[in-house]
Amino acid sequence: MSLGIDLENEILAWLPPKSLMRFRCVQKSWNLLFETPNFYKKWRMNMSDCRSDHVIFYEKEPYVTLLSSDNLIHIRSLYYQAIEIKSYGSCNGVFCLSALFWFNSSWFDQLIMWNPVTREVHRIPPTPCLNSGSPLYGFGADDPNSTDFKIVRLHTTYDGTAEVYSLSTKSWIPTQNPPPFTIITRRHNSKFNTLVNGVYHWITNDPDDYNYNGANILCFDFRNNQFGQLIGPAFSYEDYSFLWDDVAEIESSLAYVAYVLQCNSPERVSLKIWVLDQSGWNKEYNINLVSHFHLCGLWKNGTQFFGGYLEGSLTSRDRQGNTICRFDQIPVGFTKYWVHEYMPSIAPLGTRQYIYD
Amino acid sequence: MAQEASSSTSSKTISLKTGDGEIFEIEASAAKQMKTVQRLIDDLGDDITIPLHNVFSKELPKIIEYYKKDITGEITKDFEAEFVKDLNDDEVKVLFLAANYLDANKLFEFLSQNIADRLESKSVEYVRKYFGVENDFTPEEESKLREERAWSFRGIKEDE
Repeated sequence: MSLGIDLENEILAWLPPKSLMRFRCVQKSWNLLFETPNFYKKWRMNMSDCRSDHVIFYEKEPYVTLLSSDNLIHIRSLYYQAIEIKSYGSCNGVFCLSALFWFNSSWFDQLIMWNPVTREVHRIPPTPCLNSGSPLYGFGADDPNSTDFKIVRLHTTYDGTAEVYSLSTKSWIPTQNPPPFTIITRRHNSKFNTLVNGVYHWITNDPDDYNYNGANILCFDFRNNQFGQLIGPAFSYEDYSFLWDDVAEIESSLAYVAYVLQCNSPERVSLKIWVLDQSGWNKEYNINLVSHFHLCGLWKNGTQFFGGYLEGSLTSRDRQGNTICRFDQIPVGFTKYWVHEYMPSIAPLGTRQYIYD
Repeated sequence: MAQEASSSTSSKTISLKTGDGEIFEIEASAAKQMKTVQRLIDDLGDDITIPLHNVFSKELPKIIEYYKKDITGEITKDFEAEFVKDLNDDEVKVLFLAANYLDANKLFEFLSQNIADRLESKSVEYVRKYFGVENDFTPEEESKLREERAWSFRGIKEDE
């Protein structure tokens, strides 16, 4: 017996993303239904504890790998003719990526929004702004359920301007509130997802800078389009040799992550993580690892991490460094890559254009 | 309408008559959770037997069992798992439709989730049969869609 569209919706809105993608083949109306914002909103309210999945981005390669507990999928050539794919993080299951091209003796950066589950893609038109000096990008939305995704573009050769692109208007609009005056010497995004409760973060200075007293963190709040600034945790920088430091989102809080070599024992690297709460920066983890361990990403909301040894497999480890899981199909090799965690969702982009495997 | 003192309704039972003529008793506080029943009580009074034309003697006792547990606040994940354990997919569907007819929100939501859990790993053909829907794609359209979404078919057993 037929249940009728309303009762069908009640059941379908409880299905996980993989099942919904398969059931798009059931009939035409379902294929259209699963892309509607209304169905997404209903589905989103039901998905309280979804398992996270991962995307692997490679340095200097144009393809990505999707990693979930039962599946390993390589997507070849996510963007044709691109040299490299860079990620600016994810929001509500959608990634903001840039594809770098070499064309007509110039480098081009094509920004895209991409949903790894639906494979839908939205290509962002270039900004009409003339300032092209090494911009910083941030990605987010003003609401955890929103499908009006936004990108903020900040010019690092400081002229006090920034613009915001939103999916609903498909246009770049200069921000009303300019960023605070900061000398930005670090002109790349964090390796991690740095969107925390609608606020995107960048570190703007480098440990190599003369007089480094701590990380200077610039942030943009997508809820009210305002910039802000804060300082990272204070610790005795002289005792360590920095490999890198970054900001990250861990369990809905802002975290500062430092990967350092201890000056008195160079065979050991330490992964140090501080999390920001009401009382300030609290040191949460101090994980000691052997120096040729390749760190590849954080997992399970920062309570575990990915990594391995050269010519071994990718593994996930707990805070003591014990191996939890091995991914034998993913070797740790000379091609550097980074594993990004995200919440799979069916959030629609409204373009009905796709990039398939 | 003046609020009735809870003590006067808590021990009252309501008689429900199924579409196939059987009569079951339910406590008034449990009947309140089924909005259709409550509406009928409001219209017809609580002394007469309430007719439920679209619910039958196979399903109603199960629904009454659920709400009996609900009014004592004892519904747990274990109880819910036990409740549907011996039901096949079609039996759950009938119960789901009955809960919809009775406007029994809590049971309806639980059964929606349970049906979704049962369908999660099923094939496209099984789902079509289950919902009673026709495939309106052409063979070319369908095979193109399947190829594009090939990853979502991995590990799923297709029906014969």
